[in-house]
Amino acid sequence: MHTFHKRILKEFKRLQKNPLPGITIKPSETDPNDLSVFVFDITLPPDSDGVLHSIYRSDIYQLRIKITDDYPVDSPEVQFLNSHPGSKIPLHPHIYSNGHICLDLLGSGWTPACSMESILLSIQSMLSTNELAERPPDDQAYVRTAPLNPKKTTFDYHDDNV
Amino acid sequence: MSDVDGGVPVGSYSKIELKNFSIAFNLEDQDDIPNIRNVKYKSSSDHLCCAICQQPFIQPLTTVCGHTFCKECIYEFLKVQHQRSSRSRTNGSDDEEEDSGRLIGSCPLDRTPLDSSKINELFPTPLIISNLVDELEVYCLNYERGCEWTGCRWELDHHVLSDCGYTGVACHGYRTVDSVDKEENEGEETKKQTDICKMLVERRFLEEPRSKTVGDGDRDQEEYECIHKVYECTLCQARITKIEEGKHLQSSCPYNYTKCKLCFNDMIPMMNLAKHEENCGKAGHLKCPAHEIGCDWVGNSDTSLEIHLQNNNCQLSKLLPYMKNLNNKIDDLSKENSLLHRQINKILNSIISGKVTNLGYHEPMEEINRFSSELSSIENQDKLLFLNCELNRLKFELDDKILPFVNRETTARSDRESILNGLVNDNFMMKDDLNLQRALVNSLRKQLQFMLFKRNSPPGLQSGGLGGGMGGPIRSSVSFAEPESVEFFDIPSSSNSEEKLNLKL
Ligand SMILES: [Zn+2]
Ligand SMILES: [Zn+2]
Ligand SMILES: [Zn+2]
Ligand SMILES: [Zn+2]
Ligand SMILES: [Zn+2]
Ligand SMILES: [Zn+2]
Ligand SMILES: [Zn+2]
Repeated sequence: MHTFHKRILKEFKRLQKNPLPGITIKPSETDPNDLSVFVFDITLPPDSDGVLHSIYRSDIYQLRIKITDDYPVDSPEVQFLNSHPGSKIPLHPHIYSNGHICLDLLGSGWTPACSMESILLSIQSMLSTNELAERPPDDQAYVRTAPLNPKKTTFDYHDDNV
Repeated sequence: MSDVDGGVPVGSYSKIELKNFSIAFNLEDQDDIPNIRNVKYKSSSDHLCCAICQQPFIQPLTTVCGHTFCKECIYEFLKVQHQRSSRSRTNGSDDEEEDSGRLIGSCPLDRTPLDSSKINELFPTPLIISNLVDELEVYCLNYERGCEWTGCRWELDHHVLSDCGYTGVACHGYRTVDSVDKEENEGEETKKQTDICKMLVERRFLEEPRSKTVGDGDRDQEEYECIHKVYECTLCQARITKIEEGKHLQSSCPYNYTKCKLCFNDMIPMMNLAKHEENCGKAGHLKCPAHEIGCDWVGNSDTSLEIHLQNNNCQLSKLLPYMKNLNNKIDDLSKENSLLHRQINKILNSIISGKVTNLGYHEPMEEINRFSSELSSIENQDKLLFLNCELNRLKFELDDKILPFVNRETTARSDRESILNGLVNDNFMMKDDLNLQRALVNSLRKQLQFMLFKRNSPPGLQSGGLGGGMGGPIRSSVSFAEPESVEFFDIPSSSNSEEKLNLKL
């Protein structure tokens, strides 16, 4: 059993009971006895005026959070999935075409006080504030050599204003 | 769970395994300690939760920035931070730090730099907080196995280690197994050989009286038959073991008859009793409300019950409220008694390990000396007063609580005598400890006077006394055991201030 089993269970139950707007946990992908992999469907909630201004419209993206043995002392392993039919990786200057995300919260910016919820919210806001439908400049090179586990990459965090 | 194990012959040993649940506790080794990390709380408060594990604090530590975490959690976090930063620094060359166990990192909540070796950057949370979390109500770690115990978190260790019948322990019973010894006795038939069972069972099964094996006489220890041995139920011939017996008789033996108290039918299998009584009750059979305290009356209508209760027919039912009251009181008292019992043990343990005397800090006395030497003299004085109070309180506790307790217990039960002897010894140990603490306080008092003196002395003298003054008394405070002795201040020193201090004392 995971050292922090109870914390993970608590987070899971919370996400199930009080889902964040635009984010649904896929219980079919989550084994409640295991609690090491969580898959979420992410869409962008409409703006306050009820209209969706985002370049992503109402597309649904799949995000996978893998809880490592060191969680929550260390950040979990997070990436977008395109393995399921119809799911794509969002076009974003900080998201590589293999689903890896360059976000300091997932690396050096992580603290144990963060949670899956904070990851989901910051990825959602990363998408909703983006206006450039493009990949990172080094996408081709990165994807060719990237490790399977995004945590093995030490990202140089691009400036956060994008 | 099927208890009729058709394939297992009588006299063989069942392979029935102890049921293991995620947090259930097994005492396989004498040193096994229950892990309270995943304990189930009956009550909890969000204010008392650690930001890392999001559970009530365990051995909380507070940071210089005022945040509180479990000891294990913050150390785990600092360790990961430390590893990461030492990896990113030039490789190697920091082995020294690794060895000292010193961890440098930052607070997970506000990134204030933290150094685990500095007592003023990471220190034990005030007792008032750690007591609050220690007193949260929890369920037994073995609740999934059926233990219904609940209590304060600090009592949990004691419960699962020594009281809980659902803690897994090794059976350690003797088994007789067939073995063919071919090398020595060629062609001879099977020979009996003994073996010790190492399988785990719930402790409650071992507490029931066990059949002693017929020993050969050359074994020294008391021997019991392995409780995994299969035998036939004397009533229904189903194959069961001691482990299953109780459950079998209660809920699946068809010939374990009992008598219904309402209709006096004595051919009701125990497994059907609840259902039968329910039906009997529906059919108008009634018990007297005082049946719990011994009224045997049963009737078959409400009117007959009314008659039974009227006209002083049933004396017992008049006593019922009184008895209930009394029972509740007895329950409360015995609960309180066992609580006090354990509290005394806890105090004893803490005193022996030197935790209580240290103002509730878990560090040894020398650490506090070091710590207080960093504080100003006024704070020091507060500490000293507190330490004095603590000493007096302990003395009081020793004289008024523990000694009578020891005496009373001695007369009560003879089989406790060995434990009591231990307690008495502990008492002496504590007295010694107390004397040592007293000496330490005295030495602290002297240091304080010295520091006060130093502060009040003119600057010229102060500089003279600084070197020997700051380092000296603190370093030697432990060896300086006799309060009356002033030899220490006679160490060769031309310092003016020290001479003055000597006079003052
Ligand atoms: Zn802090
Ligand atoms: Zn914690
Ligand atoms: Zn228990
Ligand atoms: Zn056994
Ligand atoms: Zn039977
Ligand atoms: Zn009946
Ligand atoms: Zn009666």
